[in-house]
Amino acid sequence: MDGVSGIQAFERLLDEYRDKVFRLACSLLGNEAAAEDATQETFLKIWKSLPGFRGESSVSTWIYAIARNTCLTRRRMAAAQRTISLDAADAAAIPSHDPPAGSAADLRAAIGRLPAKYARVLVLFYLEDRSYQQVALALDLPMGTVKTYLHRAKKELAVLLAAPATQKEDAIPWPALNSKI
Amino acid sequence: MACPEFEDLILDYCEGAASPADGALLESHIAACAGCRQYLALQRELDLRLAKSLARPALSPDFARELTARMAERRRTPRLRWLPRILDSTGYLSLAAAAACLIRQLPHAGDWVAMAALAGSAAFGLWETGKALRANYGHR
Repeated sequence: MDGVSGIQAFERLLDEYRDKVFRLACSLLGNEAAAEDATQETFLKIWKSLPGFRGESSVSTWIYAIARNTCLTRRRMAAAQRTISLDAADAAAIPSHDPPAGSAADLRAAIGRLPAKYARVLVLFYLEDRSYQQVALALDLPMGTVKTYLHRAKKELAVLLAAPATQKEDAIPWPALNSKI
Repeated sequence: MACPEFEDLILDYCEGAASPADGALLESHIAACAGCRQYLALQRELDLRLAKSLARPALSPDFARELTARMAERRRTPRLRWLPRILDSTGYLSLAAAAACLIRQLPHAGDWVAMAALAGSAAFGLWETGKALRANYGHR
């Protein structure tokens, strides 16, 4: 791959995958700012490794693997060094762009109470427009597992949201989802 | 309370993943089952709330510019950044070997002391080398 075609190949990958990688990072890191930084780091690694990519796996599998490893490394480092404040994570929490109010806050609190593997699949399923296939590809899970986790998440959510108000008041806030995912 | 055997089918139905035959089966069932009807309504409402609450996040407008800047910065970075760490590892190994040799030369040290010291030094050296290598190449 010469320099020009290498740059063109990288630009094509960037156009096609940057939003997908960002959404995966959001579901794994639970924080838009951290997810954007991880997306940049992922594409830096792709740019550096692209000349050596031999096509042993599909491009999407390769890219998602780099993205997952980047996010997981960041989570491990954050957990070990405790450099990321949960308060800061709260301020920039994912999916919604508006401050949560009322039932939206309850919903997020309930998602925060789910086991991390269920919450991760649930969040990514909705970020990816309800695509089982996209979630399976991004998280490297069999489609059946995605569906099972998603259904368990929804069943548990239904129970959690039906809990009495007194229990909801001490529900874990959204940042707890960040720390669990 | 939904019938347990219909719970997953209700969720499939809400996600648009139920086959036409399963959809027809569920529709005929919920016509006669208040619990499943209620559960279907609950899951439909939950689906709407999740879709609304988990809106797609967008990358910032500066994403491409910042990535280009970081790529340019990487190009300027010397390629031999790993060299000091390799030298560190070599240094630890040399230190361990030197300590072992020194102890071995003590006039009154028995062979077992020297052997223990040698083994300890070698273990220390290997441990430090491993740490240095992990710090350099780990989690990539």
